[in-house]
Amino acid sequence: MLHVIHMNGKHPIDDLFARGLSDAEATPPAAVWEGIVRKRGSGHRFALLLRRYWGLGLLLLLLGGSATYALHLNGKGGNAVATTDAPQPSTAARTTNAGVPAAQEVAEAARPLPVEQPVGPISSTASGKGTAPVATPAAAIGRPASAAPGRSGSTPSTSASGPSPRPRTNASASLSATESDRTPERTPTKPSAVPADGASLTASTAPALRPEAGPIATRYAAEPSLLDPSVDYFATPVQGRVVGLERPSLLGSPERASGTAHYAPPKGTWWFGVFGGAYTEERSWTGGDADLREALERTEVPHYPLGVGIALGHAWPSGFHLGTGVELIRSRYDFRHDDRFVTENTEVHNFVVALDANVLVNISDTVVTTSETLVQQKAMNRYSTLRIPVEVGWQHTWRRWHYGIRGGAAVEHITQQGGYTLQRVPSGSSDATDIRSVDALDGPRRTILLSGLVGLDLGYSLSENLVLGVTPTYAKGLTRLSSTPDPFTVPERIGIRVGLTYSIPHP
Amino acid sequence: MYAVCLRYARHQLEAQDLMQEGMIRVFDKLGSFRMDGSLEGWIRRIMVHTCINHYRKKAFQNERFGLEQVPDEPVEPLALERLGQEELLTLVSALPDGYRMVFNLFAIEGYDHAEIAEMIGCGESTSRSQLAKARRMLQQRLGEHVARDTHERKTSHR
Repeated sequence: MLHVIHMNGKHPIDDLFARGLSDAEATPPAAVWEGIVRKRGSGHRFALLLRRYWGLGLLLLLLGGSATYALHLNGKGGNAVATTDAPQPSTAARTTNAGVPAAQEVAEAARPLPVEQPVGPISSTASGKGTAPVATPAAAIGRPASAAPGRSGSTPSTSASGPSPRPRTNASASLSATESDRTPERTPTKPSAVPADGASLTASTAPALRPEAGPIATRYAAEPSLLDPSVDYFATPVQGRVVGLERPSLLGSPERASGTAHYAPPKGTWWFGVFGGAYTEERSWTGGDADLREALERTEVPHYPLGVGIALGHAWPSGFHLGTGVELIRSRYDFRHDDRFVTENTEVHNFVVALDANVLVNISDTVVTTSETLVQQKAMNRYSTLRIPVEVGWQHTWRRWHYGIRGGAAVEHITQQGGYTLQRVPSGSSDATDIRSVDALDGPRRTILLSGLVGLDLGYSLSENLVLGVTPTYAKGLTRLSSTPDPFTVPERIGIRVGLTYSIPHP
Repeated sequence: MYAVCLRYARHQLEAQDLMQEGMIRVFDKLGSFRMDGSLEGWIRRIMVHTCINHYRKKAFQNERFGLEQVPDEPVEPLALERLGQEELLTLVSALPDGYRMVFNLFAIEGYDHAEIAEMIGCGESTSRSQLAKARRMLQQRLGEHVARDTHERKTSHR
């Protein structure tokens, strides 16, 4: 029999099919191969490549973007934060060396100096040829202390007649260009002569240019014929080094050309973040029928919602920040309610007292018996809250730490998704009802309300742009934004939010 | 590989779909094949997993076919020797999805119940019971097949 003929320990059926089918071969129809070829066409290949190499693509995109951005910054020469004085009109520069062609002046100015020759301060006292005052590269050196303290702090002042009291501006420095200026006083501050902004480049400013000034400047110095003699050129700094010469018209904003001193204050940063929160919540009921409200209050117990959200906003250098976002909070808690069932039983008792055929007394007694039964209803109530907050705050930064306060308001859309609620029944009591069966009772199920929040911020900078923050918060519902007679729930939430915030680097 | 698909599929069209899906996965993952093993075994494993995934998507369920009443009777061995690959495939394909899956994996691929349970996302006991039911169903059908075959032989002799 089949059960005993196989001795290899396998079930005979298994053995039979294994022997017959394990090496079975079959030729699929041609349509199968066509389908495979079609599906592995170019579109599929592209999707496959995208799926496989999306990380690499993203990395390349980021690198490319960063490189472009860096090049863009280099092109700007860091002007965004530099305190600059506009160059004096070019006519003034021309008058420096009267009778000398402008092109020659520029060529002379751009002539490389020996490497070991330090750049000295440029005297603001007119000497020698008594020419008209002109703006100097040194006048343009001044940078905000916050931007480049090493440079600005060591810059010798040449603001002999500068009208601006601000230390970051060296407006209207006058300088007479003389041959003596080419052998300046020695000073240990190497970068002091590096023009931070557009400054008229004349023979008088020749000491400002150094051999390491950059390939373009060196090239122009070597071949002055390349320069247009009718144009005054300005040295353009890139990260503290002079690398080229520009025409004034290329220098950018009209204010700079107009000669008005201006200062670009540091701007705020945009940020975005993700956060999660754990809370302890108690809810109270407001409005509507008083009995129902009290019954609903009795069903409430403290519970512990969890939330996740995203936020974005703006932070100013003063420490203030404003943000908004969206947060989804979900919670569940045990619902318990004793439904009261009242049974009323009415009995009529007749008492008749008779003597012979005469009825002496006929009494009807009605007895009403009321019995009350309590049936406990149990359910797991689930609800979600969608919060759209607007929060303002202030933060102070100490080293890598941030601390501050915040406050704000939020629109909260509370939806009970499952469980029981209470409903008034005709007998006057409040009975537990499955929430899905009471769509008409919008109050218990959905509420839109305005809530307020206060909190403390504590953060730690993980990197230049990434901050890990912890925010203990207290939030409370303030008022309902829709008006219906139903009672509605008002949450009171104490909890802690933990989030990561990324500050978008400012150009 | 098409024969593997035929074993796991209910019918030819489904087998063709599985074959196509499996081969595309093979081509996609060809780069990850380490040349230290059997290519055929590797492809076969991919095909089997494609079939399993296909049935997992269809919410593999414990199927009941009232097999508790089917008697566990032995079948004439000589008649079975005459069964060809096609007949065996037809018998396997006629099994309900769950039975077929477990039977294929256990009897032909050689996986044990723990592995099968993990692969198809069911309990080990479910895998055992599905296998037992698959065997009984096959045994019953084999019996029918042999009886029909014997009857046809007798008829042809006359």
